[in-house]
Amino acid sequence: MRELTYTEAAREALGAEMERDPNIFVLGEGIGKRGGNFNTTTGFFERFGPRRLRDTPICERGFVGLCAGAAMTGTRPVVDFMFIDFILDSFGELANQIAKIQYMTSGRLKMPVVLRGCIGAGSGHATHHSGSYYSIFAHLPGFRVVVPTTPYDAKGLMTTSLRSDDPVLFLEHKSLLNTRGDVPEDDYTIPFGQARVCREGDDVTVVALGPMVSKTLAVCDELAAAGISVELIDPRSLAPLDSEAIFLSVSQTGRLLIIDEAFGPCGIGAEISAQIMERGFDQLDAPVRRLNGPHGPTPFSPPLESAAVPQPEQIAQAIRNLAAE
Amino acid sequence: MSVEIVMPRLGWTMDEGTLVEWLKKEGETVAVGEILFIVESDKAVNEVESFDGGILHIPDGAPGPGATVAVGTMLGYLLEPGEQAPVAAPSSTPSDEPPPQPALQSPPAAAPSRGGEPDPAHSRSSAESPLLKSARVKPAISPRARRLAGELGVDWTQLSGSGRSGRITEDDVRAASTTADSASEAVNGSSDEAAIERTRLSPVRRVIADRMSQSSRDNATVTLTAEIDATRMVELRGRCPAPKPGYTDVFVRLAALALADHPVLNASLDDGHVLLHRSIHVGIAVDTDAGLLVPVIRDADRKSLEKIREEAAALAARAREGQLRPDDLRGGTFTITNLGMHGVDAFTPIINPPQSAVLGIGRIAMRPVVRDGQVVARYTAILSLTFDHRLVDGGPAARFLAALREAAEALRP
Repeated sequence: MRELTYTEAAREALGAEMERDPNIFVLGEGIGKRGGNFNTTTGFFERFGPRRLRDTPICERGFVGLCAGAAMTGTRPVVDFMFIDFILDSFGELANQIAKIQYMTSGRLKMPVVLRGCIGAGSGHATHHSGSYYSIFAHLPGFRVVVPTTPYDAKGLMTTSLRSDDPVLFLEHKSLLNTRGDVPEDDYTIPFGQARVCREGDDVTVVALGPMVSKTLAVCDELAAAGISVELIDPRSLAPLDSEAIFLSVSQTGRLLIIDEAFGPCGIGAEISAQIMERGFDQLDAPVRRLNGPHGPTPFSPPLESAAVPQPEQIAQAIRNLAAE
Repeated sequence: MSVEIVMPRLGWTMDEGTLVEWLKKEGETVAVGEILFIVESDKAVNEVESFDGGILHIPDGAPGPGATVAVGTMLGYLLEPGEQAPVAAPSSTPSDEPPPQPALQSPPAAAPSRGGEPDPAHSRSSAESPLLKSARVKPAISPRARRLAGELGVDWTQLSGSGRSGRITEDDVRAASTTADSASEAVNGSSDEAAIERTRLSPVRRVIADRMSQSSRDNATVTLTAEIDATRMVELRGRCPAPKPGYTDVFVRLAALALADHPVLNASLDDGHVLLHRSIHVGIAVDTDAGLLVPVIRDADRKSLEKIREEAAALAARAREGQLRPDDLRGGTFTITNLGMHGVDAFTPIINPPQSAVLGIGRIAMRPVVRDGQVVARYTAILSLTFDHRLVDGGPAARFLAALREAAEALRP
């Protein structure tokens, strides 16, 4: 099968859906002729024209509010934030309007807005450009939150997001953008709330997010040689969350570790831990553990930044510790 | 801020301890690092030092000297000057409390407040809360293990856990279930309950059981036996002034010297590495009423026979009185066990992990021996050397045994 990068895969899905559905348009800073800071819309300005690729000034609250209105009139906006950190400037429009409008109209109005942008530390962009805020959005009713980790998932989940009538946070980790993988040319979707078991094992269930998936995979063989068999799960979407898949895995292993570079307190790991405890208390053979980045702004200094993100050696240690509980 | 003083865990296998005595009095000021009280654990008597400073407060009804309580049981508080003793939250359902575990000996002072008329003025006092608290202490068990224990019919309250902080895990329950199955099969022929006396393992017995099963599970053991001529040893001992050294003492010295030349017998296996111990610390198996204890003669290769005799006698006495300190039992690199006094000629001793060898000494007796074509009567003994073949091959073990025999036969009175 042909290989694409993560960015190419997501772009292919966006292009194909824009061909299919004329109601889809993209707006954001530098997404027109420039083709997007992260090449999310390269070539699209020529392909779809200025009516469907709307460059905006730096006014997140303004253009997100505009999208709320546009969606209510029947179009399907895609907001490209580049660095998703700046979605926070539009938080009122999102939390108070976009997330609520379908409930308030008993579903008569739809809110098909895709909010995409890059998350994550590890590329020297300092604290204003390194956040992973998915837990905030997974906390609020009304949003779909997806965090694809492979090019295959990027294409399939982008297609699903663009066909969804609900607001979707499509979050792309910067360290994954240039990773390559098999991507079918055909059109396909991946349902929200369907986790992927990346590796099967018996002793410890690891739920890893974004780049933590490949970092964990990298230590699984070494751990297997030491007698610890890891089952690795990539939830792919956080809202809805496939707690069924995690529960089934924990029913086998009895042990759960959640690895997430985002902040621990009130984070997605806390939510997964609580759901598994509530549902699978009798399945647990050890306390649920979390491995997170430290609870502080991401440093700019590369060595400090590297220390602020779980690395393979810490991941291996956390798994060994849990196996020894 | 008050600091709780609790029964400490002084070894991985300790789950209860006896408060022997307080070395500080109620109201006395305690400095960090001062010895606060003495605890007798499963194998040793320990002085417990205070990690915090403060004024000692021992609540009425706290476990007193002589009480055996679970690890973690509150014994008292360290308070700041002028601070009131904390009042424990009242138990929500005190009447539903399970009876105290058999190991818990409530001091008599606390007993009336549970059954008799409660004194309203003290009904919420902290006096009995440590006891209620400790009565609730059960071995920790994971939810999964507890569910499984129910399914398999395993009484998990009798298990010791292999998880962190002694938590009982799924594996522990499965192992117990397997053992129980085979045990019940074994006694199936005599199902008459009255024919069996069932008592709980003592702490010492449990440690011995764990270590012996570890030894037989993990070690690849081979036992070599050799008969030695002990005539000179008997003569040497006969000429020693009283108090005379025991034959075990002589073998401790001879073995220590031989170990210096055969370091692989003075070694342990640790996670893919061989640890050759530069020091030679010889453990001596001592039979006590409580069970087998193995106090250690440190640097036995550098001690005279007289010094070894003196130390071994003191250790054996402390072992029989239950007064051994943890340091007396730690760090052995080789073990000697002598069953000769019980008329045993030869046996297959079991290695004391993580050591790699153990020497068993059989009965020294006059036996017919062929010397220069003549049958003559000599004192002889059979030495039994068990070694761990994972670490030691037959050749080196045999050479060590031969060296020991030659040294014993070359003794000069």
